[in-house]
Amino acid sequence: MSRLKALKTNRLMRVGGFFVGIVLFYAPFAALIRLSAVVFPTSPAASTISDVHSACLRMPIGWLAQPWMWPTMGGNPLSYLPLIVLPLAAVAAGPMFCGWLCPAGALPEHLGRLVPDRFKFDFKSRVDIVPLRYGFFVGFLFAPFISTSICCSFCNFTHMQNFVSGTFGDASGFAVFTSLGVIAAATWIVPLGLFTKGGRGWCMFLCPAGTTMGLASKLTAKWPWAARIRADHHTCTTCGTCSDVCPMRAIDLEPVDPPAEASSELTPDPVAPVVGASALAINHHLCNECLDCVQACPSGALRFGRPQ
Amino acid sequence: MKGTTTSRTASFLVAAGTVGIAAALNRACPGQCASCSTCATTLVPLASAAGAVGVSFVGSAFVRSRGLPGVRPSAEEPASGLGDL
Repeated sequence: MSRLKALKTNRLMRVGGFFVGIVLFYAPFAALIRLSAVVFPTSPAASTISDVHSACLRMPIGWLAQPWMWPTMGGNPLSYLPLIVLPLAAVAAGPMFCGWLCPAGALPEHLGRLVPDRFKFDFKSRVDIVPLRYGFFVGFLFAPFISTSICCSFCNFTHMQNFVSGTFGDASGFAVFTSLGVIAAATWIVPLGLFTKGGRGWCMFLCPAGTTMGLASKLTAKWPWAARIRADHHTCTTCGTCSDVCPMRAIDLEPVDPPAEASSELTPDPVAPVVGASALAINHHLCNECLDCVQACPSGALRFGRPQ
Repeated sequence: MKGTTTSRTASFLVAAGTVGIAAALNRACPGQCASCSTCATTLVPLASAAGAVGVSFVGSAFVRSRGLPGVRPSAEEPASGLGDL
């Protein structure tokens, strides 16, 4: 299979994951919420099946900084999804949820392929994404001390629910769009989606769930049983294909320093490249293990698995 | 690309402050449109977000132009030949 066909197949599978995510999370389907209602009949999820907030991936993270919300969080078993289940999954295999299942992240990425790359802005080449991402994350955690919450108005997960509801005949969700929500939704889809290289500008900068998983993934990337995308620097030709197709802009071609000056954030595999050359560096703060790079690599230098 | 510790710290702080501004405006917005013009002020968080990105961009460009040690711009990335996939 050619690399182009393999890449297209991988992306087609991820489009399939996008629809699976819709069925799992969003009303009118909300399969995960319905399952939770069956298993935990007394939980709030049992009475709010039409409401995506029962399976919210953002609010429980924000509630960590608000002790007065802990009882609410404890009463809904789905609250543990972004706090325990997904971070643990990210420890084991990286933030695959983001790359394969999250509809809110996938929608602008897949739509963005309709826009030629020459009209897109590549944040990676102009800004340092990681500190901005963690800055927004810390702001998100402490915003409730200023406002009630910035969840919902500034949440693409909610906006996605409104789109799904509208698509399936219930446009009432659009009524909850505040002025701020309209601007946030437009920002999510247009400048940070259609006109951002990779289409995942919102994921890169503004998603607290993705940031949590990215942090868990980065901190444990070198654990011996942690599956991540790995590069073999002996096979890699530094052609740049992987960097070009990465939707999260997580792959750089870095000049190779002597070991004492090696970057702690960009972590090439232990199979060390020749000093003085360029080498692939996979930024595990950002990588969502979508595997597009693995499929697109013409030399087979990338793989998904444990460190060697 | 990777900036200096200073530019990264500035980016982090400005980004966090941007969310604070957005939160304050979110509190001011009454929800259903009451024609109160609060939305006009939502340009502030957007401008602030652009400012956060701008701080990182300008800071990084500055240190690159000065060739300060410890800054390692990414190598040129040749076209992959995959086009607008």
